Amino acid sequence: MFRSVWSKSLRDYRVPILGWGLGLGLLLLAVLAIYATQISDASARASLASVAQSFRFFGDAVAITTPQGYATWRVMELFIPAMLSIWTLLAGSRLVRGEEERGSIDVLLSTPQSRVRILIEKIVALVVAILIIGLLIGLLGMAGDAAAKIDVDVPGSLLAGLNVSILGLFFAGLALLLSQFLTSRAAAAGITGAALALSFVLDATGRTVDNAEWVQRFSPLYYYNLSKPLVASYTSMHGINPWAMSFLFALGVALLVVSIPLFVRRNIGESALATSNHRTVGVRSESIGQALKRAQQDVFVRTIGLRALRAHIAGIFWWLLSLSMWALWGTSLTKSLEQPLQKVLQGTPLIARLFGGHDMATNAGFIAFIVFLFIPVVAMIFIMTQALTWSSDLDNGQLEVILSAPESRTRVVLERFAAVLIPLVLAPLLIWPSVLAGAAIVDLSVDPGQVAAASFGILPLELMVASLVFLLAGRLRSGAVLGITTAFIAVSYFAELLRQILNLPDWVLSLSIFHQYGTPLIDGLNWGAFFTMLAIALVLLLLGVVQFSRSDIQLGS
Amino acid sequence: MSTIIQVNNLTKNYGPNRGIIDVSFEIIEGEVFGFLGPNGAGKTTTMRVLMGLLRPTSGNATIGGLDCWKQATEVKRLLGYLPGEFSFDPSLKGAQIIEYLGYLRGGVDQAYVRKLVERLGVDPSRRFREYSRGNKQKIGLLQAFMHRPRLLILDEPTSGLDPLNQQEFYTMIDEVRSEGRTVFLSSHILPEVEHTCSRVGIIREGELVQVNDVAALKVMKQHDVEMSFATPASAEWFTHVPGVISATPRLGGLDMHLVVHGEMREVIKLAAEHNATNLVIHEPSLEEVFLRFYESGKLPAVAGTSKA
Repeated sequence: MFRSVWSKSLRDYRVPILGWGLGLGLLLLAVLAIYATQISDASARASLASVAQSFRFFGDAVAITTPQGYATWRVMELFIPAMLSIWTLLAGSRLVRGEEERGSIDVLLSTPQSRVRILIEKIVALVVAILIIGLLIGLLGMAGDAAAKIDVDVPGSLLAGLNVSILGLFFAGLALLLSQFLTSRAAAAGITGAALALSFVLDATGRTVDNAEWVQRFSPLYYYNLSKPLVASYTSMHGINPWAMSFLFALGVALLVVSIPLFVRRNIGESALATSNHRTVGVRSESIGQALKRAQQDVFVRTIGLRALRAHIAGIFWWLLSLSMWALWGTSLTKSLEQPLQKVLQGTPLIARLFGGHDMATNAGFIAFIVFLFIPVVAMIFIMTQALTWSSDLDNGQLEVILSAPESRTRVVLERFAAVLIPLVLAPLLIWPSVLAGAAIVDLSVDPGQVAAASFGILPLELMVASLVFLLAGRLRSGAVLGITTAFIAVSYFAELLRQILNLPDWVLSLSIFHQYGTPLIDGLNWGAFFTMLAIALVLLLLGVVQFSRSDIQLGS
Repeated sequence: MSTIIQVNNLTKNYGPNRGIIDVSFEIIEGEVFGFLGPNGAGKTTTMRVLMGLLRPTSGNATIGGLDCWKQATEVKRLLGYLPGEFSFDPSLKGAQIIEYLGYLRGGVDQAYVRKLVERLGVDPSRRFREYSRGNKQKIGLLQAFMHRPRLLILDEPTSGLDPLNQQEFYTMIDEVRSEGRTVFLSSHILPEVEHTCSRVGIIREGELVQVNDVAALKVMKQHDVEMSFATPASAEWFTHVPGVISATPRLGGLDMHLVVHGEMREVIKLAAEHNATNLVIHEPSLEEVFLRFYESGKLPAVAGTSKA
């Protein structure tokens, strides 16, 4: 595996291949299997079809009364492609820019291999990894067919895996291209992530807003969704649109190929745009006095907390903006979707069970579903990313010099926690008025107090995640911290979301923080659970502080 | 003179064959103390224990009478530190790093900082990720020196510096010494230690095997002596002399090669008695002494040397 750049790179992908391939594949398998057990009678199927029509912004409802159609609508149109694309855009942005940031590309380029060859080999490894993940999704899709006791559709499942791989390839290519122009890997990943979110908004808008179909054509998700290989009857070619797949594939390949000459011509560590306008070595952009004076005026270098906040302010801004826009947009949909939903749900409570048991027959119930079913988990992921910067700074050895200053370890860790606390509080502070604004736009009556309860009820959940990361970071590397925290969020979330289907014992369910969060928009805030979670979060934080104060600081990697 | 660093039976275990074992030494205020040893010998581990970054498995270390682990914050008010690999927030400019660490240390003399920036010739308007290795090291030195600490702990300080900046660094160390402040530096470059330090400690595979004055270490040197005689000489003339390790006749005894440890007086006297026509004494550098030591596994015994 160490004989060539491509085989070594592919080896580096072995954990993501298994993790993402098996994880997303098992999700497809589970959805196929759940359909067979939960939606068995004709009336339930008819109701599901109506609900799916009402929720067209999620995806097209095609053959929704079949396991394959249901699985396509539920996970293959948005969730699985979005999740895989998040990994591919991270991998694409890291492909060379990540190595440049670590400084390891210099050694690689010192070998008698051309830059073209090195980049091509890295691209090949990434493409192979994405295809293997797609293959695993396809294979587990076949297992899902078997679990649903329907004919195993081999070509359909494999083509579904291929289609999702092609979409992932597009975002990997976009991230790689952007990383040629941006000197920060995180910036390239962030902009590509925003492009992914925009793709969803464009596609959803085109599907749900009259006369706006044309905007879909600017979204790669549109071309992805033109093929629905699990639903063989969707097109005459086993559910696929070969032109759309080829177009998306060609776009992805073009993005990857265009990146090659840019990488070859630019200076390592610099932007492709900077090459022609390079700062002359030895010429200072400002005098020593000016540079020092400017730094003296910078308030963000005066404390550890302020510096941490400043370092991540751009990411915080985009996350908070996205959360607020989702709250506003989701709420504004209520009016148009409320009536058809009420009609459907009156006769079929079973459907509601598939959406976490929410009673969607009221304004509050609908907002609870469309906004507050997702916002808490997204807010927790947001806070997790912020808290993880502490863990990665520890990994990178960036605290070695900070800790040589006469600041106690307790103060250092608490200042860093305070930097996470600010976005943590800002999230519910912005969600609350966003929901109220969304309701006001469509003249919807909601109780501001209940919306506040639902918004600020997220606080202890966010605190739990932040405290957990700080606790784990004292002992574990950031990769392990990320894995454990993600698993904690995912298990808690799905246990609550699928509680009516999984029939978990009450005591197990009560361990889910999302269960403790409940539906405050409808039932009001559960103050007991609120303060219990706050107390647990504080205990975790305290343990984290004690842990950090007592543990060895490892050398950076 | 008072003791500023006191290390007593310090052990830090990471696992088999890693860490430091039962290390004891002391450093007197105002001296420049060098810590010598090859890569992986335990120099960085010892320094990181002193910095309160690692918790000792057993034993203890104090700086200025304060426990390095239990009173780490107070200890850090006394010192400046340059880690072995200086890493920092890549997006911060040099000037911002200086300002930031200045704030964390309770403020610094801006005029002195500016003087240091000019002396080291570093551009503070660039981001940390844009600096070359040498310039990163200069920022590292700057932040360690800028608040005029009572004690400087420097882990391989000249790593990555060009010869001109190495000379500037030696001048800075001389200034620190003349101001009565203390330096504890590690290195595996012997001429550097020979040039800057008054005392050295030698660490090998986690164990401190020697602490002595640089001058005393030079006394330990094994001299190579080349002698010429008009008539053939005998090795037996010299083998009984204390300190002579070997005597090898060449050219039928017209030349004689001796390896002598310690005092040379008796050898010179004997050579004169036997009408030596030429005598050349080659004084090996500290580096050669050090390399011989690591090859053989033990230092030659010399009166007055000790572990602490």
